[in-house]
Amino acid sequence: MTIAEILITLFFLIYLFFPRRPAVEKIKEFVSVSVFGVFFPFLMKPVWQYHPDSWSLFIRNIPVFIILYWIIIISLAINMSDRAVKKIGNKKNIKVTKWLYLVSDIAVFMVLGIMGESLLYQIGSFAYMQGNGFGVIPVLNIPLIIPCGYIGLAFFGAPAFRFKKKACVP
Amino acid sequence: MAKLTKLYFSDIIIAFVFGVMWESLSTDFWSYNIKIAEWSFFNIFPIIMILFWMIVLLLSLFLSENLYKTLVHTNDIPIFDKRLYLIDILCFGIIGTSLELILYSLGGFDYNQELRWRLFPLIGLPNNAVVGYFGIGIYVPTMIRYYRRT
Repeated sequence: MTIAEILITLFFLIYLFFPRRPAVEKIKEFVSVSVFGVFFPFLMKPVWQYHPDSWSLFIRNIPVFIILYWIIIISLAINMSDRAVKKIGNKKNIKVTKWLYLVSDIAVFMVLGIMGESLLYQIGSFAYMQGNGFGVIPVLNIPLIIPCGYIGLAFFGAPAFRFKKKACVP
Repeated sequence: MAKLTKLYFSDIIIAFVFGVMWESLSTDFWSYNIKIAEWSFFNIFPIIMILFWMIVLLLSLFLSENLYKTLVHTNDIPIFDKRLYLIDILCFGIIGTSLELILYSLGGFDYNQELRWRLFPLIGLPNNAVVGYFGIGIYVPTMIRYYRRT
C-alpha cells in the first residue's frame, strides 16, 4: 500500500467509526453515494494525472482508492454539514432553512475537499492537467477551479445526495 | 402567475449557474468554433454554450415533469420519487446527448484530441459526454426542485 492509499484508508476508518450510527444506515448511505464516486473520476479523468508510483490498484487508469476517496469525502461532508446545521439550529435558535443547509454544505465541502485534495497533491499522488489557467491558491498550489468544483458539488450534489439517502435509508 | 414566474426564474438562475460552473470546469475538454467563442463572458464562457446548457436543463426538466404527470396521473411534482428519478435520468440523457450531437454536427465545437476519449457506437460522441448527460439526470433535477421549493 502507498502513502496515499493509507491516508484514504484512514479517512475511511474515521467515516466508519465516527460518529457512531447503525451499520446498516452507513452501508446504505455508502451505496447511495457510490454511484457518484464511481462515475465522477471517470468523467473528469482529464483533470488529474495520477502518478503510477503513488497508487497500487487501477481500474482503466483510475486508482481504485480515488473512487473510495470521493465516496468518503461526500458522505463525511454531508454528515458533518447535517450535524453542524442541527447544532446551530439548536444553539442559536435559528430557523433551519435550505439556505442554512446551503451555507453549511459549501463551508464543509470546501474545508474537507481542499484538505483532502491538497493532502493528496502535496504527497505527489497526482498532478493537475488543467485548470491552472484560472490561477492557483497561494501556498497550497491548487488550481482555483478546484475549490469552485467543491462549491459546485455542495450546491448541485448535496441536495440530491440527501434525498437519495432518504430514499435508501428508510 | 407571480408564483409561476418566480418558479421559472429560480430554474433559469440555477441552470445559468450550472452552465457557468460546468464551462469553467471543462475548459480543456473541447475547443469552440471561432464564431461561438467570439461572444463570451469575460473571454472565457461562450454565451451560446451557457444558453445551450440552460436549454438542455430546462427542456429536460420540463419534459421529465410533464411525462411524470402524465404517467402517474398527478399534478404534484415531488422533490424525489424513484419513478421521477428514472424519468429524469432518461430525459436528461436523451435530450442532452441529442442536442450535443446537433451542436457537434453543426461544427460548434471539437473534442480535444489529446484526451483520446473512446467514442460511443453509432453516434460518434465520446462515451464520457453521453454518460455525463445521464449522470446530470441523477443529480441536477432533484437539486433544482429542492431550491425551487417555497
